[in-house]
Amino acid sequence: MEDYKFLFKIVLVGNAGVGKTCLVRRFTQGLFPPGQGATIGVDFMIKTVEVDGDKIKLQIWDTAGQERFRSITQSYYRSAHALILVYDISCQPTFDCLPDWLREIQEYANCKVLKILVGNKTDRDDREIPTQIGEEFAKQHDMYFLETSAKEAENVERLFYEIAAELIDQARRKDGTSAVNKNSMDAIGLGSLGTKASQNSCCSGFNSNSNQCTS
Amino acid sequence: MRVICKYPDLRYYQGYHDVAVTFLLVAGEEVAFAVMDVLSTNHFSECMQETMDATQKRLLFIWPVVNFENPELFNFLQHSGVGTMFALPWYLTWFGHSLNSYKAVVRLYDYFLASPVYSPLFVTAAIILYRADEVFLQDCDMASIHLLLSKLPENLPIEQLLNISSHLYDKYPMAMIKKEVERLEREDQERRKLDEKSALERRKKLARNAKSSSNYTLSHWIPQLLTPKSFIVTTAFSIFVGFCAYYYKSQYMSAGIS
Repeated sequence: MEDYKFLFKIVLVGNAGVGKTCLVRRFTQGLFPPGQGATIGVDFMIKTVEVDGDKIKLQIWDTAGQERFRSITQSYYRSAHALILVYDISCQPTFDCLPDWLREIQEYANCKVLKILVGNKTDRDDREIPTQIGEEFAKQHDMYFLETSAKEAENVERLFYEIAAELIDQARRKDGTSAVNKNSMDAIGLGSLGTKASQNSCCSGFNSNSNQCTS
Repeated sequence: MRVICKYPDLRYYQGYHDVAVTFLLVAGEEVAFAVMDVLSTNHFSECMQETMDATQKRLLFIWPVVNFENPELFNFLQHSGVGTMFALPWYLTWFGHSLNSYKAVVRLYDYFLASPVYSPLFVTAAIILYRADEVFLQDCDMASIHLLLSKLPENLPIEQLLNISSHLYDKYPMAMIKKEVERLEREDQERRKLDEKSALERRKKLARNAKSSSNYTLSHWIPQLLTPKSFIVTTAFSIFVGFCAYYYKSQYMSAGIS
């Protein structure tokens, strides 16, 4: 059984063709597949990273961007610890859809889910959305922001490592409070028990998380 | 593309092109068009509806077959909560999206063209049954099982699996499977109802605790509870509780008076 300190679920969403799968493959396999086919339903990858000497297992769920798969992919939001919302900086319509995606997230995801806005394809020279516009949007909606290029491997590692670090922070803060509130014990921080994270433990995290929102 | 234009009701889905391109490569444009015309209005017509609901329902048909053949495996898979997502690309593309070997893909396409419409479901069941030992080695959770099943091994014994699939198809009539799916769905619904009930009770308890200890916790519950579904459930529940309270109050009152 693999040993790890924390297990986090990260879900990628965003319009079709913005580069969700390429970001995941760049990060997990270190490659950029030029003719990457469209995702059907949901794909799944695992990568173990090391942050401050701790082994962190990242479960990355890569969803299909096409609208008709929406009802299927929504069920994966709920147990996510982090949601990466991706748009293509060279394609205005993918940015215009962001409010729709946020509505989806609000409806189906945990209220405390970590949200990250990612403008992908910075290698392209036909940019349509200036960095500042993306940044402002993220700020308005309480999201982290990063621009990446899966092709040039720019900011991809940083994206996932920062998410891991932030989630660890959150989990540790919660561990502190859990001395008071025992219910929140095995929410995100599965601790060294870490063999598997069942959906249940994430759901219980949902409730205990919310207690923490206010503190 | 020509098929999609011909039938405006049919919706393109990601994966449709995997099927189309295979026929295009093998048979050229005219024949591919004719084949896709027939497939899109028959085999894939459910998949080309407005939503994927019908397709998702259809995929449930693999479970009775797995259950009849290997109940232990079926229970393990159900318990893991893996669902049918791993098999969705298989069904939508006749495995074309998920198999690397072109030879294996065209062999399967030959088989499906010459077999009844729902044969891919039986091949899916045959693959799951064939991989039973590997499944049992995994942790019983959704992620592990999904990861294992969604990746098709390179060395699948295709011919053997097709034989098993044909055999399963003859053994279990579609009507029988349909009935079994309905039974499983009913069971599942009942289980879910029970879960919801206990979750509700847990929440009630928590809310009560929160109310007595501090107000701010409660105020944080409210936005969370305001999703449409939970709103209806909570409203219905509070009306019900209200009625009960009223009923009991009047009962006790009258008892107290007499």
